[in-house]
Amino acid sequence: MHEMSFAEEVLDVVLREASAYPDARIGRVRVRVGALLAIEPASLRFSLEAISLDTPAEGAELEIIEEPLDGGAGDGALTIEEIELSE
Amino acid sequence: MSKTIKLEQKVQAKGHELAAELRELFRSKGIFVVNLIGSPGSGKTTLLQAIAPKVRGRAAVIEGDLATDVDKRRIEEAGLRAHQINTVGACHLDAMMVRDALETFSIEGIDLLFIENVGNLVCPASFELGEDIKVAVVSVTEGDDKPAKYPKAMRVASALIVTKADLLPHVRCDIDRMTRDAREQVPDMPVFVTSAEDGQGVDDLLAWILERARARA
Repeated sequence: MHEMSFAEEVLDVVLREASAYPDARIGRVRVRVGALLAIEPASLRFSLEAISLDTPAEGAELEIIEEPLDGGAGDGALTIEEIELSE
Repeated sequence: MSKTIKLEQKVQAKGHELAAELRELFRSKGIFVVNLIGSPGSGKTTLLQAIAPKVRGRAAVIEGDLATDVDKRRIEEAGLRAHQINTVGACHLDAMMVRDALETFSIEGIDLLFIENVGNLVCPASFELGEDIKVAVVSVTEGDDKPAKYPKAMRVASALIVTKADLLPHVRCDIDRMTRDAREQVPDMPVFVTSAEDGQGVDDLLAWILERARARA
């Protein structure tokens, strides 16, 4: 289950970005995952949910866009597209 | 009121950078590192025991298991220095565990390091430990469908090592099928049919590993 390792990195980035807005909570995070990573969306969601408890990202919705294999660099990458903050 | 932060930031699995650092460290010391992945009971430790007398003095082993130091002791009895990592719950080794192991386990004076992963043909395939190559270990008793069923393990492997070949007369196992399925994932993948019991294939395997080490150096 390597989803946990990705979830840890996603949470690090999200919390770092959101730290500029101390009053905000994180409502939604959108990521794209490349096909070669073989990431199981349910597992990634569960991992992030578990490790974000008691952080501003607790309860955030994780939107996962699974990209089809296209032979490009995106195949092996997880990209955080955007983070939506709510007051 | 809500605000959206546009990012487009790529992230790697945690440990990816550390694995790269470990790889640099191993290279700087001239150590070739082999990460063995395979199911519990596939014969990873037994294979290393068979290799041990041939690489005494130049190789060491890091063992990964959820619990016990049984494997470390087996390797030491076979004549190699060994270090045991206990992952407690984790189903695989990661780069952090290897780095921590190196704080107490010396790798000075060796040019070959085997890292035996936790018995599991799934998760270890996803984690880089700074190794030069991964090899997949599958025994004839597990069934010849394993390379087809665990494509990712095959895809990240540089060789398929079939173990317990001395049992071939007693089990239904088609080596050609294993080879074909492994090569579905990696064309021309080397396949070594070995037995720690009668020693077949072990010299060929070791010669191949040492050749890979030379090619890297």
